[in-house]
Amino acid sequence: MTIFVCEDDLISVLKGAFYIHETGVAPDAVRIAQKDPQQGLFENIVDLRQISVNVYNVLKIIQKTFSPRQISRIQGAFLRGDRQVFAEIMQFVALGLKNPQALQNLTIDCVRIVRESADRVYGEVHRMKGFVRFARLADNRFYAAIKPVHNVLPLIKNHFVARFGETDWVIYDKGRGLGLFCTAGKAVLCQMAVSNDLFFDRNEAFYAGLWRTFFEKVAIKERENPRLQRQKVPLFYRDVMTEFM
Amino acid sequence: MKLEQKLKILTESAKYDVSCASSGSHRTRTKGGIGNAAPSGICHSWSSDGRCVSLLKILLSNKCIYNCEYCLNRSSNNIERATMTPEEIADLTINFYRRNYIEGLFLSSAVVRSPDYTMELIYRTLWLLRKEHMFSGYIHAKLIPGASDILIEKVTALADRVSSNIELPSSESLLRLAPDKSRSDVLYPIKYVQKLSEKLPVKCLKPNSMPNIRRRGISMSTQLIVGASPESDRDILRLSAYFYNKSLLKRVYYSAYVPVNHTSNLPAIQAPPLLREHRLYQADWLLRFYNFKLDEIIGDNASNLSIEFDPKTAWALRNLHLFPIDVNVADYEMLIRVPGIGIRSAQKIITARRFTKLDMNDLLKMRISLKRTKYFILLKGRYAGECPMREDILSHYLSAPREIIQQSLPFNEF
Repeated sequence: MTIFVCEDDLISVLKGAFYIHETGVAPDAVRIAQKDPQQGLFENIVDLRQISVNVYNVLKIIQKTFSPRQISRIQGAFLRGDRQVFAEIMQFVALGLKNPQALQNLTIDCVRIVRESADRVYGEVHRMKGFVRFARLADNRFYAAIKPVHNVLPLIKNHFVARFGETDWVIYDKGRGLGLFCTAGKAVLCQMAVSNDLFFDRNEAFYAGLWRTFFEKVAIKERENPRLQRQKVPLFYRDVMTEFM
Repeated sequence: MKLEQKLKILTESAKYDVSCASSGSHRTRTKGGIGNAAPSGICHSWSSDGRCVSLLKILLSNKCIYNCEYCLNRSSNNIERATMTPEEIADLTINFYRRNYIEGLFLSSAVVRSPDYTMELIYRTLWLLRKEHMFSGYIHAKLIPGASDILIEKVTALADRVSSNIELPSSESLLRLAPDKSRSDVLYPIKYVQKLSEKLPVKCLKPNSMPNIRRRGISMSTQLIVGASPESDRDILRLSAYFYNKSLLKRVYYSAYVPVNHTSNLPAIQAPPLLREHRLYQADWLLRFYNFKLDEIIGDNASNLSIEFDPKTAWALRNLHLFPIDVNVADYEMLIRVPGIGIRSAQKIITARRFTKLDMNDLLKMRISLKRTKYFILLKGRYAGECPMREDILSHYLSAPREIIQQSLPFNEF
């Protein structure tokens, strides 16, 4: 059994792809160095941390070989954060380096899995563009807490920057302790912690109340369909959405 | 009256308008302003009836001078009335938008005083949003039948989509249930906006969009009530097909009639005809995206869609001589006509079969549902279904969930 040991970042995954491309050795599993303990005695370990690459060159080759759509698929699949998907991304990239045409072939497992994983992540990205709920703080900044399944912050950044312009805002991923800070139209992603005592603008409760009124009244009683509602807004997301709080 | 009370009344009054889309518009934020419009549309929530909440859907006023029998806001109804000012609506929209509650505004109104007066209030609201608040989010505005051309033109220039609800599919029903409106009045705004649209240059949906998704001019929609009048599905779809063929409308919405009033001219129904509404939407999709003709969707002698089967399956069962088709050679046009294969599945099949001859396992891996598809396709020269291709047998297999019966082993044959 071949195990690739790498760091938890996209460059390490791309390193693995180049290793496969050059040696033809593919991993059965991927292990993240800091997080996963060694499990078996008879494993063929390939420690990608020992291999040094020129990051600039790697990215240049990727940009040259893959279409923008395929690059966003690689990025999306990576943000799924699943070790098994990391192995598939490595094979996908290695396949693309060898034969770019083959990346259209959905009957190849790595092509299909990378595409499906990316679709899942981008599906949640689309959902989060709607589900983020801001509240105005006393200092005029808008603050939203989210609880996504995947790490979507890097992928929703541009959407909110383009939309809210000069407004200052923060989106905080509660599960990962990550935050997107936007000040004067420039957003940065960083680790953050939020205190429980936030000071909200004095009109905040008024507008949140109006939204809840609207949300309740817009439904047609004769068409009640809570099952469909649950399918569209899973309970998982609701505790940070104003209309369900 | 307090703002919250007004919001309550005017949301209640607007909720029967089913239009909810915020898609199809590509508007970028103006410098110093707020908002943009995403071409794909974004749903911000789903209400307890399972409908998408994307826009602040509200009436400007529910004080109507008309007395349409199907309408909650008819002048003779004894309900609470309210009117919001354009400033109140603009402020509410901006504050909801800033909190990412909504994608934009859907503004309709009962006819207050006169069509022109109402249209002016709508225009004033849009003007405040676009010019004073520099709002570039999505706006859908209702065109009031009977309003003057200049007001229609001004509202259209500020909105992403405009609509005029036809509500009833025939002139006779309109005369009976909405005597204050005439068919020509209702259709006039749509036809007038199309004329305006034709004068505009062809524009792209996205800056680098392919020519086939370029579109011309102004996006328009309408709504038809299903079940309040005796028109058949064929009558309703004929009207929709007319609008689509003439490029008058981008979309027709169907709204299952909810009995909000009880008069002798309205049918006494227990529950809204939701399944009929669903079938009409499926048929509408076939008209718009699957290149079906109206006569193909509804059988020769039928006037209504099948309730038991979706329109594509019903068509396939009537045309079994065209099936089974070989998934590995059939063209795209035919693939999308197979029940269970949609646009995305057909595209996946066409891409994948360039590399290999597809079998059942490949289709399953690509997550193409075989539940209905297998009865209409050949894979590597073999029929994928497990029963003879006869209309009665397939109908049985495709309708109710089947009991799985363990077939007896053929001992007797030995």
